[in-house]
Amino acid sequence: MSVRIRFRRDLYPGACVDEALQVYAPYVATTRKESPDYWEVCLFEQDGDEDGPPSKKERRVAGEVSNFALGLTIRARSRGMSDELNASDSEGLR
Amino acid sequence: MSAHASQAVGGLPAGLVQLQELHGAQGIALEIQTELFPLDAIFGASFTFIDRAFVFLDRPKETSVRVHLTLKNAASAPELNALRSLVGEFANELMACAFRLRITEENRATLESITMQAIAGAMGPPTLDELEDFDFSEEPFEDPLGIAMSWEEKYAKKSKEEPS
Repeated sequence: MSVRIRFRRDLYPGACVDEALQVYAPYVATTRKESPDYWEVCLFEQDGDEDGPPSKKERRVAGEVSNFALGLTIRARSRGMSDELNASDSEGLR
Repeated sequence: MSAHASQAVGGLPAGLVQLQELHGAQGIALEIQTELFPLDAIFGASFTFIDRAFVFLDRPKETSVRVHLTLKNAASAPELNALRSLVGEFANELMACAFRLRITEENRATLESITMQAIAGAMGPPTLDELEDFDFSEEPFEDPLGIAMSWEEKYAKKSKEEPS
């Protein structure tokens, strides 16, 4: 099974979400796509059961990715990187 | 994070606080009006909880932000009291962050002035070359009310020899 995380684009810059995913890439596989309001991320274990409930590992990594993206977002905001945030929002996920 | 069924928590406002399952883990969600609490305060309060909880922000409406909190080291069904305590602590921290932010904004000019003086002082005294280049002829500031005038200058007796 996979865990889907929908990050609001007006709260989380795309660059921060992308960096968080890169950090946790060794632990889970990910797919990413954009919608007008969200960065949509799907996390799943490569050898996991797609039909069952999310595994403990998937839930844990999803939470850690969320926290990491939040931390990066706060750091970016505190540095006053509004220009970079706007730029990353238009660029989207890599 | 996909949110599923939500449930009110006894003793807490049903419209603001709800138990919510987030991708298989039971958590608690607090809805915050952004006209009451600025976004920076919400981010600040969230940051203090990321060591013990998974924090996720969402925006259900344009005027509000929903904060999802899930305990990191909890069983699949954590105790209700633990979640109530968590959301209560978050609300307190949010108040503190909003207040600190307001004080910072109100005292921004003072803080900048003090910082500027400290930095200027740390740069050391000006060199002789810098003093030589300095334009002392320029008036430091306008003083239309004569406040900066010295006592002697302001109340000096007029000389009898001077024509009135």
